[in-house]
Amino acid sequence: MEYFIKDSIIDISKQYVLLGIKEGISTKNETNFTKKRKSTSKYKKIRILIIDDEAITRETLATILIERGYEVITANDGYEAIENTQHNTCIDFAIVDIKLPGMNGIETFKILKKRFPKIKGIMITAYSLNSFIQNALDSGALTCIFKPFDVDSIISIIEDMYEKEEKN
Amino acid sequence: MLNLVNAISIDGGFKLAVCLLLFVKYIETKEKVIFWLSMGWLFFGLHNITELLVTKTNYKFFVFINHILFLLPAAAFFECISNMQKPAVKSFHILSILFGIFAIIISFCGTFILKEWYFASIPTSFINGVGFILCAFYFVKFSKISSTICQKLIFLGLFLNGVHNLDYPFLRPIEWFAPIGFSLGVIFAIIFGIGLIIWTIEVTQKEAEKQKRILQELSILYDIVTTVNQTLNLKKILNSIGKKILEFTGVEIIATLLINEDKSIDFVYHYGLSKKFIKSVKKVLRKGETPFLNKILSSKDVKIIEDWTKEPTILQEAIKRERIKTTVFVPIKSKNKIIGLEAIVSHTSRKFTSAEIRLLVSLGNAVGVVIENSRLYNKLRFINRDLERIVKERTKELDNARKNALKMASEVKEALKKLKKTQKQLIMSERLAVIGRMAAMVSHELKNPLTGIKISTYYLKSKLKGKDKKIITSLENIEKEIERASNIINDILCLSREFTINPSLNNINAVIRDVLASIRQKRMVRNITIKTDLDRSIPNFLIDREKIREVITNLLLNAIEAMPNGGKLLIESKLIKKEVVIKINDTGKGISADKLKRIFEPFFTDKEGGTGLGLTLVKEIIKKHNGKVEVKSKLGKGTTFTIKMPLKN
Repeated sequence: MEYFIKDSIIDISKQYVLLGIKEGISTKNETNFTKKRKSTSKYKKIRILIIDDEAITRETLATILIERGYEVITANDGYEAIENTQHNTCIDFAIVDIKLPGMNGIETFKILKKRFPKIKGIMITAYSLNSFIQNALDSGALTCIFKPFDVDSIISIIEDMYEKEEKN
Repeated sequence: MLNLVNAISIDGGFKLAVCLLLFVKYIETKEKVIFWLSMGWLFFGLHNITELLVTKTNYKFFVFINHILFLLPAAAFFECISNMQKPAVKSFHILSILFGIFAIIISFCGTFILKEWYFASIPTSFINGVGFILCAFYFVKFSKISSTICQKLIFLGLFLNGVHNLDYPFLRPIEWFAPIGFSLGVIFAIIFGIGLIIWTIEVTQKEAEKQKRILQELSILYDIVTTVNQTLNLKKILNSIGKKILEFTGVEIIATLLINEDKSIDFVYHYGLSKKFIKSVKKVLRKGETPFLNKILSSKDVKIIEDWTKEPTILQEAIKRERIKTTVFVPIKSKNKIIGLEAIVSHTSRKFTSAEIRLLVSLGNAVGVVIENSRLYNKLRFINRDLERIVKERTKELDNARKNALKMASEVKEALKKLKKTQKQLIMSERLAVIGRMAAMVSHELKNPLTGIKISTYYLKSKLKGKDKKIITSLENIEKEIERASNIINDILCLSREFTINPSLNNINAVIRDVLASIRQKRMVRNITIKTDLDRSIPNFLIDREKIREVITNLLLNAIEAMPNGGKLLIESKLIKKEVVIKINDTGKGISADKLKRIFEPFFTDKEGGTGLGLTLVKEIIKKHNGKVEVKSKLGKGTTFTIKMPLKN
């Protein structure tokens, strides 16, 4: 079973390579791997941090958001996220998976919140538990979205938020 | 005119008459004494008769016979005396035989050697006289003659007769003496005869009295035996026996003491005693200080006390006060063991006859048997009562045991039923738990790749927009399948954990309408007429809106799926006795009875692509709302699901 899953993942990663994503799956040894893409959208300098140990989800979401004109930083886990953002002065938005290897998403978001007080964010999780929502909200996240999520819903959250900000 | 012949014939006649009288009495009484008396008088009389029959030709023979008959009466009287005692006195018997033999020898010698009547008569009459005098003394001594007149007459008659016989030698020398002597002989014989007759009458009377007494004794014994046989009640028995004894003996007081098995003595019955005396006797008995009674008991025989002052008893004073005089203690015996004492007490000094004592002894024995019987009967009765009680108790116990067993059996049955149910539930929950653990693990693992697929599809769709329509449709199909897979995962997840409901006041009708709207929006309904009959009077009540939504969605989707070729769907809500009832009725293909039983089991499904978790989830959710789900179905006609939830949880 495991073998099969790995195979399929490898297949998908190949597809992603075809689609122009250089990075495949991150393994335990492949840490500290970050991507930065310049946004071409009308929303300038909106910097989004995506933390998820699921490489395909993370990278595809990153690709979609970058194509939509956002600046995206990705990380495999909490530590990597902190490391990858150490040179940044500002992160606008974070999409954090709750279950991460090592430090979990909620703790990570709390740390990020300390470094970037203006940061907004949503939690994503495969565990559809009400308590997760509460924990997410407690940590300062806007909401918690359950996997498999609609990309549109995430985008609309981000867009709604910044439209409001711009209006303000 | 009194001449010799006349005197002799009168004498002989009288003697024979007495003999006849006595013989008649003998026939009547069969007493040997009387027989021998009669014989004596027979010889006496015949002796006189032979004197009359003497002629010159038969002189020798008659003189011989006359002499024998002269001596035989004495022999007969001795035999009579010997029979007066029981057993017969041998010495008199021998004397009588000797007299007989002597009579023959003397007579023979007198007749044939002396050849002269007169000389021959001298020794004979002398012996006869001595014999008669001896008879006179012994007759009176042994015959127990009570009346003094007959005693005197008999003694006088016999004695004087004896003396008169001694006068024989004087008959010839003194001429005038002969008629006087003969006359005296007749007179003395008459005196003796009269005495004897009186005595015989007395004896007969006494015998009659004795017979009467025996009869009385027998009747008393009979009475007692009958009374005693009528009852086994000891008190009644003792009472009736006591009364009989009182009646029979004419005493004033009667008391019965019984020895118990533990050697203590009980004062069981008394008559004619004062309460004070009884009290003191009982006190003594209770203390067990009864040396006097013990002495009587150890003697094992009838004890007659005439003078109480000589007896070693502590109750001396009380006895004096009670005027107790002659007392007979009769042992009450049973199987040769003394079990009690019957005290027969007279206020006066009184002699008890042997007959009375005999009767009392036999009464004592009878009472012993009766008391023993009564005791045995009482024992038996106790045993019987015990037995009855035991039987009753046992029956009751058995009945109880039976009842308990039945109760237990039903309890065991119930428990087994419960156990089976619990087992079933356990298996179910075990299955659910395993599913839960697996689901929890798998769901995350599945949701992540699903997310990957979904997001990738989204990307592809956005990239290929406006190009090949077929590609777009295909991508949309992928999205739908993702949605389906995601729903399945959610169902599994929902069942996998002990979910809790978050109830809040909600309008059930609103929830139903909401679900219906959502279904209509998704355009899932084709050729199906949906009818609603919602009761507006149902108040808002505590439900978990989301969960109930899921329930209704599940049931409605099931109904719709059951009618692929269209049909009617009726949704009802009602308020029946504080219970909210929701009915979802379809006109679909229906469910067979065997499938209907298993419909709520997890993973049981007859739908293609169904998880078999939908209805399980419905049931679990409704259960959490303290309600229940029922289902009725007919193949080819349709299915009705009924949800019942209490208004107040």
